[in-house]
Amino acid sequence: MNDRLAYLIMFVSVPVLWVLAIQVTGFPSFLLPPPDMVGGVLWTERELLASHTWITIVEALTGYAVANAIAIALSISFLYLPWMESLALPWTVIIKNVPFVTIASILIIILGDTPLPKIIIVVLITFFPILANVTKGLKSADPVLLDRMQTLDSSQWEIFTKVRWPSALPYYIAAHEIAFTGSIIGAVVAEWLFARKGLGYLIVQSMSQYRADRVWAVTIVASALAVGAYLLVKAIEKYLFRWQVEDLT
Amino acid sequence: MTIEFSQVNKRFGNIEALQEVSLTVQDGEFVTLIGPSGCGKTTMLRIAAGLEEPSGGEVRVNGDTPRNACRQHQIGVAFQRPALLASRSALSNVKMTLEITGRDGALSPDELLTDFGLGEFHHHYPHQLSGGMKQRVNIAAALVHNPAILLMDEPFGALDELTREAMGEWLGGVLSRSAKTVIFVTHSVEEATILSDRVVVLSARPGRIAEIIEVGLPRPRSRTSRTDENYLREVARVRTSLYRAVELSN
Repeated sequence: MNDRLAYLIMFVSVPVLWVLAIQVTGFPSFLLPPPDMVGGVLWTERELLASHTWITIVEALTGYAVANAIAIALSISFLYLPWMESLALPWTVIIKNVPFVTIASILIIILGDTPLPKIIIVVLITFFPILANVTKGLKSADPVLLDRMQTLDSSQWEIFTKVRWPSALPYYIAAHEIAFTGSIIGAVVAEWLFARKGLGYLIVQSMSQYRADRVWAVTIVASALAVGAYLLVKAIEKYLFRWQVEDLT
Repeated sequence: MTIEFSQVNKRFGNIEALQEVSLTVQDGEFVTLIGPSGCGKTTMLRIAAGLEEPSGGEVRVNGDTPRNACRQHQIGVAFQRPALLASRSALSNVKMTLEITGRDGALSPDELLTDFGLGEFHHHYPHQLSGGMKQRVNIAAALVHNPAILLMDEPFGALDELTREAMGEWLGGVLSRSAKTVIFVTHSVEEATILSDRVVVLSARPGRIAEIIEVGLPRPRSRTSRTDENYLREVARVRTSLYRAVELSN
């Protein structure tokens, strides 16, 4: 089946199933608001939604940029200093496996309602897939190519830019597929725990006011953000690796 | 440019890959290394390319170390598996060599690929090329900076018989136009015979030179030489020697 058609079917099915659920369960609109009501919120409260969305985006992108910088720097250090990898391994295991919600609570106690704990949460969630993939990608360079580079007396910089990094690039892009979306989820969850701004905060506030319609609106905005992030990565991937699908003719 | 192996030994742990190997490859000579698996052919080539250090003895390239010869961009190496970057086109893969060595005295990548029969494939990526084409790009990338020495490790090993013959003939043509000192590793007696001035037969465990055979065939040699009586006699000589070397190895 055509991919676009499948997406279209999904977009049409969601409101249909939604309306159907309301009909079947008979929940009143303050528990399960109908699509048109949520659509109304999206429109009338667009400025409020936009300002909080912007906060979330800034936190997610800042955290994501920091995660990328740390993860790539560490991956490169692993390549040239194997002892760094041994040293870092227990730390990455801890960071990957300690439940981040608890760390978030601790960070919020220490740092309060500042952007910092949210950014740190985003870093903690997104940094590991980037580290793992780039580390693996840099080591995946073809040994025959590395031999060729050595017989040409290439500098380490040339070997890195011409062979190592191009070999790591597909792995790096694959990491974005997981981690970029994760950065938005991380920012929302961190705000949801404790904040006065952002989409996560808006959920908490709307729930305390029994504004199911606004919770739904935030859900739609946050989902659109995450899906948009994913599609952006896909588009970049398609552009970077366009040579892979290029036809012979 | 000469390549001189003097009493070269190479150990990998407990395994003696090469023992007391002495061989001088003359300027412009085409020497083939042949022998049973594990006889150290590839190790000899890698030592000549400066990719491995001998455990004993030494290798001199025009009186200097292989590493220094690499520094002066005197050595081109074509590996068995094409050393091509998947994300670069054929032309760009060849140009990559020059991005590192500089263009002094280099051949034109465009002309080289066209000369190699890849005129229409400059902008194709490795995955869009056949095995024989990839290997031609690989060899073009190995000699585009016009090194005086070409080291080739079973470059046609993965190709079918007919492509292999055609590639051998093609390589002979390339070298007749621009003479190079060549060390060529192969498993094929026929290929060794048709391409070489001398065939070095190695025996295994430990790897050492069993015999060196001068191939008495006039140049240029082409595909038709392959049915020639003299050629068949030379092939038989090399094969007999190889069998002796295999017996020696067991």
